[in-house]
Amino acid sequence: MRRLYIYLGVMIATCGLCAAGSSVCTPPQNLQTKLQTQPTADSYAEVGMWYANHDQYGCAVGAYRAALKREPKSAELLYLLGLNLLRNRDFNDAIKPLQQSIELEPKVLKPHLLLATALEELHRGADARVEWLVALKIDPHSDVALEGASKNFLATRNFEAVIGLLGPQPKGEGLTLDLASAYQGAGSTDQAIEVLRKGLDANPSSRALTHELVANLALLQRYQEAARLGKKLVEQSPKDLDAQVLYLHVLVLSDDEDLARPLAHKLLAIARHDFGVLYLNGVLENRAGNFAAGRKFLEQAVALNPNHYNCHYDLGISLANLNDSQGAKEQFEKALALGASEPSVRFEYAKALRTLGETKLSDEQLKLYQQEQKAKADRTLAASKMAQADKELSDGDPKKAAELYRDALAVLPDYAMLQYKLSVALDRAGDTASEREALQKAVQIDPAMAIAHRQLGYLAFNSGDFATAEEEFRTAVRAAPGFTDAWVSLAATLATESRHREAEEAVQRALEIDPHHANALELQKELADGVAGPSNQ
Amino acid sequence: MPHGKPGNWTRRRVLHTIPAAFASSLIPCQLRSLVSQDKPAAAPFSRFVDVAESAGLTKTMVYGGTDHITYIVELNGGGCAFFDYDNDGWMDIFILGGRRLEGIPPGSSNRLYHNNRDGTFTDVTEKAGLFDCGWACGVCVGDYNNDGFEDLFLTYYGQNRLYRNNGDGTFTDVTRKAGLLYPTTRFGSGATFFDYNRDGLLDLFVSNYVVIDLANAPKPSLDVPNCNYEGVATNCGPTGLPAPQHFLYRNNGDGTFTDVSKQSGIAAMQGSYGFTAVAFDADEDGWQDIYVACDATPSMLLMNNHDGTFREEALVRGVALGPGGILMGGMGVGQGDYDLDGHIDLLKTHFQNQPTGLYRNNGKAEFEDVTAPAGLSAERRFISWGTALADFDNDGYPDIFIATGTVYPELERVYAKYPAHSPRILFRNQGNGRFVELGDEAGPAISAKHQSRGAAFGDFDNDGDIDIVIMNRNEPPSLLRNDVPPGNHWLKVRLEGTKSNRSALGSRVIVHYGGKTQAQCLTSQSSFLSSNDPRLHFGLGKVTTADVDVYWPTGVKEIFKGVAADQLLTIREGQGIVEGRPFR
Repeated sequence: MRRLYIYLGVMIATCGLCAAGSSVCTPPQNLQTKLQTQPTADSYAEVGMWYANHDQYGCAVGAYRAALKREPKSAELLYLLGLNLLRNRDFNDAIKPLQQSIELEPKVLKPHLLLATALEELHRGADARVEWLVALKIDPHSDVALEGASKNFLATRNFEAVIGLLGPQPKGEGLTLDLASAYQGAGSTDQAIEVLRKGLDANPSSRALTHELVANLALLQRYQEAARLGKKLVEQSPKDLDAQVLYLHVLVLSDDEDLARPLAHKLLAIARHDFGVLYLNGVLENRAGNFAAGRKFLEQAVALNPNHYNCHYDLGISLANLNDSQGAKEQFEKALALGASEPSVRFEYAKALRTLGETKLSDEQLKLYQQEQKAKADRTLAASKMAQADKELSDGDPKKAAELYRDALAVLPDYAMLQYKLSVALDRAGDTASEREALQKAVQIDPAMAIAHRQLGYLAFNSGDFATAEEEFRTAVRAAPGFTDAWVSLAATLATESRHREAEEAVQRALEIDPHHANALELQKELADGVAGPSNQ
Repeated sequence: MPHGKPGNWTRRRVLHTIPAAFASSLIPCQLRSLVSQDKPAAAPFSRFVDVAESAGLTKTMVYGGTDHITYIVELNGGGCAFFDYDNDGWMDIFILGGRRLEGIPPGSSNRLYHNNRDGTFTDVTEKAGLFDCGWACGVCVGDYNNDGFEDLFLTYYGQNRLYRNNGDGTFTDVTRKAGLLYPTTRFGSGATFFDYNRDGLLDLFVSNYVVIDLANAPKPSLDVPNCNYEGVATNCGPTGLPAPQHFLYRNNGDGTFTDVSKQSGIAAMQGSYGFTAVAFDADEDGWQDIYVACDATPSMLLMNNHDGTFREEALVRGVALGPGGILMGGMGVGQGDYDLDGHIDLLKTHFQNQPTGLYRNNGKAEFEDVTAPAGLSAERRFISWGTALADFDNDGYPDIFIATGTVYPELERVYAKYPAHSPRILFRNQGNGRFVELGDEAGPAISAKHQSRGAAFGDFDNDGDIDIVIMNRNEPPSLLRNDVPPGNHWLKVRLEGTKSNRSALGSRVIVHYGGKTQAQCLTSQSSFLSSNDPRLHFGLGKVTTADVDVYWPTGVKEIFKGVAADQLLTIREGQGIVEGRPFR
């Protein structure tokens, strides 16, 4: 919805119009006279614009339909009809005129943007994506198209595509937020922070960017920086409750109770029914040993947001310390049922069970707790080794990197991405046999790992096994239809096998995703010239 | 879409982070305000004065980088010991030192200071044969060959060392002869002599910290997890580094030891970053158990199966983790009877933002975390190391001392919250199960700021109280002389084993005074990788006589009634009270 309103807002601003609404389809006398004397498409369009300017979108739709009866092949009228249907929230009806407008004038940007917006509203994300990308082909710098496409990719968790689309530092608050989200989603919170910092340098007064930066710093446990920035945010916007709650949250996380407690009390006075305020007050009271007060706040918070598992957990802590083991047990069970995965929940659950005499179940939970802690420790160790390996790889020592990836795999053998990273190091070290082995393990663990399939295809291609290469590339694009490089590789393989029509289709798919993909464009040209071959990958 | 209303989204996301990211949010802490309502008792408390310089403890204890630490081996610093190496009845001091990554600055070494019996000490390190410039970590003291002279075992990042006391003021490195050499580098940390099989010989438990090879170790980096803190690149670990094996060596009685880690089950107990190891009879079954404070991993309680094997039960016995199952940064251990119920309770120092934990023992090694009700929760500003539950003012109630110091000296330049040097922490026992924190009123040495690590507790001037020696990184040590308020009485008990090991390590002593009962145990290591004065010190308050029960490590119990206060009592196993070493 945000995109729709932003875009429609842009359109209105562009037209320089603002109006008060009326529910009756009655144009002013001069336009009525004009319609009677000159019932042309232009006259009806003029009336349509008047209605639109006065927020009477339903009336505008009628006027544009009348205009189109007189001039059915007008791309502009079709576009204006679509626009007003959208403004009137008739998303389904907007599709057809917009498509017709595009058929008549395919190189015009705005109908694509509107059609993409309508498709997003109808939850037809894949179709919308095509329109966003076509819009970008027409105008690669269109902010609306960039934001639409990036949000579309974010919705499908295609973070790499967003990162590729937006480049290192996009302009504007919205795109910066999208890029930061993509980095965050891809597990690179530190990169997200960098993007946000640069965005803030360019736009120092942006509350949204500051807000996001505070949250990301807190997620990275950089509490002191987060608190400093959070304080600044609150000082800049003293009436922004979200900002104050975020700041409070950071203070709670950073154990700055001397600052947190007065702020928590202050927020309670002004937002007694805000979930975050109640929850954080509950946490603080629990931490201070005031479990009865903690319970009161947390019960209210749970009532407001029954799906917040940590709230159930903290309520369980209150109850356990108030000797209500049965109540605590129930809260811990709710937290677990809602997906709480922190070992602490299981630990406290086990304690409650033991207090209730359910020793066997308690022992089982403790065992699960230990398993979860072990798994967490293994993940931490592997992450550390992997990060060291990444560094060695970027510093140009693939052999050392491979050693470290293997160390990581020793504790986390079923981590497909680690196997893939090992394969990259081995590739750079020139050890193709081991590289293939690592890739095969990666796809055994995660059969949908497109990048590994693509690399396996590449290895097969290089060894002249085109059938296997094609199979791997097809698997890659099946797993990740937006994986441009895999489409190009598939196209190159097909071209090598002289299956030019299929190759052209594959290249076309690549260019739909990324109209500027250099290899795809080159291959397309070579296919057209009839000289495509293996070197075009 | 990830960005609906940005504020709501980020709040929701961050609101899910509390238990994951913040351990102490789960800790049922006491109200800071409630704690501050606890006023020190009207009776005066001890005052501590740092007399290190005038006492001659002037050598800087070099240990790693000063402003910046690259590797974790640089930061632990060392333990220290009060022990009487020449049997003259006066506590000498041994302090562990290190080196720098880039080399060994002049003056580096462990230090042995001989007590001149006049409040001063003489550095006899080289004369005693103890000069060594490695990455020394921990010390434990015990007479492993039962010859009447206390020996030293030192842990290192590198090769641990066993020094036999020759009885003539010198020591000999007998590591090889004793069979304690190993082929690869280990990061030794905790160590304790104890008699696990009750054969009268001191065996040896050694905990290791992490597995790290400096040639391939990660360096401070914002790109590598656990190599940064609060957005500042810092030394890496321990989290993210492999956890090592811990070792048990059986004393063969001929000056050699046999590695029985595998047979005892200890080799299989991996997954923890071991620090201080304290051996005592946790469940009072007459057999020595071991508690190991572990950093960022579950601490370990190794229960003795009486057949040469151990079982690890810290989790079910309540001393593995913090509230909510949080992994605590366990550093040092104090053992003592804070609530005077005759059972040995445990105190464990932790990382910053984690309170020092107090665990009440019911005598069956079932521990209850009483950190919050005891009033210790609010103090979590500093990384805490050396510690003791000891009665500093002789009022009959054990108090708490904690040495503190950062592991990230780089942070101070960025955040005032994390100072490079920090004060000592002192809690006074109020006699009602609660403690109150003292500050300047306990003397300038308490508020003085250092980067401290090990601390040993003992009476260096034989004046009837407990003084403190502290290892400070890259500074001379501190020697905190306890100027105890007049009026209270005390009793010191020194034990000599005959059937039991000569040092009587593992003995439990219960003193009954004025209707109170206090238990203490004699350990080879305590505090942070340190070793305390083996003369157990009991403050008696206004009481002038006491009854003493001794539980020897071989299982025999002896009772001594109506012992007069204000004396050092020497008890020889099976022979009763005997004339001991000179005291005053």
